[in-house]
Amino acid sequence: MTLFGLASLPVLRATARERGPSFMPAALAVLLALSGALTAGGSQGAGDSVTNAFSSIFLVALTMALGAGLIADEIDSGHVQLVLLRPITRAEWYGGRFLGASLALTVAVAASWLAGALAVLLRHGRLDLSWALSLPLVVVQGVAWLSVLAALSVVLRRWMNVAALLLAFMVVGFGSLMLPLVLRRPELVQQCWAVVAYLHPQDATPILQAIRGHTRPDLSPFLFDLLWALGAWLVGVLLLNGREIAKRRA
Amino acid sequence: MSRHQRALPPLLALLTVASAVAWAIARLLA
Repeated sequence: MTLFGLASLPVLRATARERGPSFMPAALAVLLALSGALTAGGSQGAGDSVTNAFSSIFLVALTMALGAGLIADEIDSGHVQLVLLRPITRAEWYGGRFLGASLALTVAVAASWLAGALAVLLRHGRLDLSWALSLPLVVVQGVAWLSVLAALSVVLRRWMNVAALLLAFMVVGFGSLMLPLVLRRPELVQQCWAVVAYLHPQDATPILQAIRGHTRPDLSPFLFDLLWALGAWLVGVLLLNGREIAKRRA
Repeated sequence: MSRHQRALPPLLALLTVASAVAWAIARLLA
């Protein structure tokens, strides 16, 4: 029972059941849905319910809660060794873990998206295209970050994948501000940010703004996020294939 | 068995390359 050789379905199901309803993700998902309902229908229209700054905070926290130790926990506990006694490949096990967590994230975002839609329908009575597109855009962006966390979790222990990502975020952010100052060339700040924009999944909400403004949207941030999701997945599988997963006695 | 267990799914590699090409085309058209 595999999904085109990409993921083992029993592993996917077990991961979604294990990760989704545990305390932190469930609490964050409820907050995200409430935020969707309360903030929808502002100046930005219905699509705003999952893309506004307030919802984004919960979305980032939820992604981290779902991705923390996603792979490492199973390797450290020795559970993966038992699972791999069955005739599934490492790639299928990894895909099941990653897609299971992605499914839990998708359910939480969809709940917030629907709660926002309900609030807007009660207030204005209609939904627009940007609302419909906000779900796939936000889900792919969140899954891209989850994919990065999963790949890091192959080589880092416990929740260190989240810590490493936060550290990288601070170092790159601080560096891109400080480097131009140290070099006494403040005009470099713009160029630094232009480079940094390609070092992580991009914000896809300008696509929704373009649609609301009836201009032709530039779809490249969405495709870039898709590339991050799949690219980090591939790297994660390669890292797992090269890793020793047998537990040894000290 | 060990080699089979570490097989890389061809579909994953294909999708990754396809998304890279799609992104490059979108960048060129933008």
